[in-house]
Amino acid sequence: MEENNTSRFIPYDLIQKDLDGVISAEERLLLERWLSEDEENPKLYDEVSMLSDDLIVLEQYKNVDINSQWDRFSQRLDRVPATDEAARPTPIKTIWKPWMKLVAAAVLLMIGFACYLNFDRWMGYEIQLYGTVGQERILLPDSSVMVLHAGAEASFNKRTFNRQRVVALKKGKALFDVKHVRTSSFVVELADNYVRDIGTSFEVNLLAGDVEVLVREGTVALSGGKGDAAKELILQKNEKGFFKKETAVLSKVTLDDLGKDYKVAQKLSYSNERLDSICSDLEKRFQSNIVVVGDNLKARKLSMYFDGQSLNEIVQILSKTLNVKWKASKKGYSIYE
Amino acid sequence: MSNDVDLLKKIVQKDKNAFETIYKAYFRKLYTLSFRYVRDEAIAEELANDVFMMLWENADRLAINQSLGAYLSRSVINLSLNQLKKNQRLLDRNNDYIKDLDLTDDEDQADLAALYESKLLMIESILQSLPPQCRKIVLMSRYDKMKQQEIADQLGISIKTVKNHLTIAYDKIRVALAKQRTYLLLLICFLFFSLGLFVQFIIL
Repeated sequence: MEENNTSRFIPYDLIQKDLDGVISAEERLLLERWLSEDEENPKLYDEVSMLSDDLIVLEQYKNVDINSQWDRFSQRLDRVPATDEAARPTPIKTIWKPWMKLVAAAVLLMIGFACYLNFDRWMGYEIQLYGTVGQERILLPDSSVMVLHAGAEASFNKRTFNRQRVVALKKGKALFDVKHVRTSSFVVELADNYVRDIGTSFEVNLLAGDVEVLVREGTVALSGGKGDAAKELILQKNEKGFFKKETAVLSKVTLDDLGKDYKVAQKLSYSNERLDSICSDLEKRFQSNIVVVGDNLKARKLSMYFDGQSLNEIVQILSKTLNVKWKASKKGYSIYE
Repeated sequence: MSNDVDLLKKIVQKDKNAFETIYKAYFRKLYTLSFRYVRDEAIAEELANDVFMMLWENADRLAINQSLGAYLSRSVINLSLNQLKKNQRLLDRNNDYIKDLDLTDDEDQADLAALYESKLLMIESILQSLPPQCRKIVLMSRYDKMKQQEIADQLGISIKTVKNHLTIAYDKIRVALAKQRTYLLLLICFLFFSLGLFVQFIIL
């Protein structure tokens, strides 16, 4: 070991000059040449460098006056305020008990679930639609047309509509004129079932949970429940399908079999006409009897548009519009104040 | 160590005499170790004193798993390294030394300040053993920061003689330190060998 350390030439003077930063360019060249001569030489350079540092530290070590250091530190120590147990801040106890963590996790889960469910609504993708008395035509993204009657409410997802043509009808009556797409059926989602078009124009009416579907054109499937396994009733043109919520029973009648109350108006338009003349026209069209009680009521003028409603529904709409009462009997209808 | 434990218990009771004993036993070592890193007397002094202040204020809350010396060494090294992070140049220069220390878990248990002190004391004893002229040249070069030519001029000798003396001094120190490492290694080997023999003797 000794032989190895002493036999190797080490340019201490050059290393020392390099460490002190006073080495000349010529001496640096010599040092670099020595460093590159052997891979051990850089290690020796580091060793000498460390030794040189240790010599400087040694001087510091010897110069420490421990007593004067203590005197100064002692004064600093005296300035430190005494800390007793009362003054010492008590550590903050954790407020998280295990059940609190569980509750927090459950709340976070619920928030996450709510975010997942309401993502489309909060992001503005879910379009909510409300029917008006004017029964405006609503053009859906696939060019199908929806007409919502007054009081009806529906929604669809703008983001997914082109992939899944689904309109949710929440209440009221709506007419759908569907643009047929072979690869994607148009579905009207209802609370307990659905209506699926097979290239058609149809009308859906929600009545206290029960569903009525009247087919104007083409073919429609009215389901008896939700999901793929739900039983479907196929309705052709001029057929009216019924779904009873309580019994989940599906049934249908053809328009010709319907009584006068089930007959529907195709398209009726009245502009600023007296009520008695409107009723007179309706009597002719539905072959029924409508009595308007009171001259003032008879003289009231209305602008109305009906499309597909039965006489019963028309009388209801008229009464609500005029804010009067109505009554149905075997003889016909009465409208009175 | 057991003495340190007793003193620590007294420091918890705010016994200033006990604290003075600890301070005087460890300050020089901690200051030197800190200076080895930060190369600034004032900063090294402040860092060493900070470690003692921490000990005085938090003695009752300290969980010292190793010896007090190892704990204080580790504390002053950490403070010095934090200080060094503010001075990238010094950190770069110290990297080799820090690497050499190899601060692993085992080193946490070692009283590095005491180890470094023993190294310095060995260097000092080697310096004392050098011929007077040789020792004087080393001291002028390192302590007085004199250039080799200035030393030659002051002592009235040639610069070549100065270089020769420096070479002799450095060589002696290097060889002595290398010998110490070898002896230490041999001692550890001997201890393990003895332990092996003892275990074998017990089994048989």
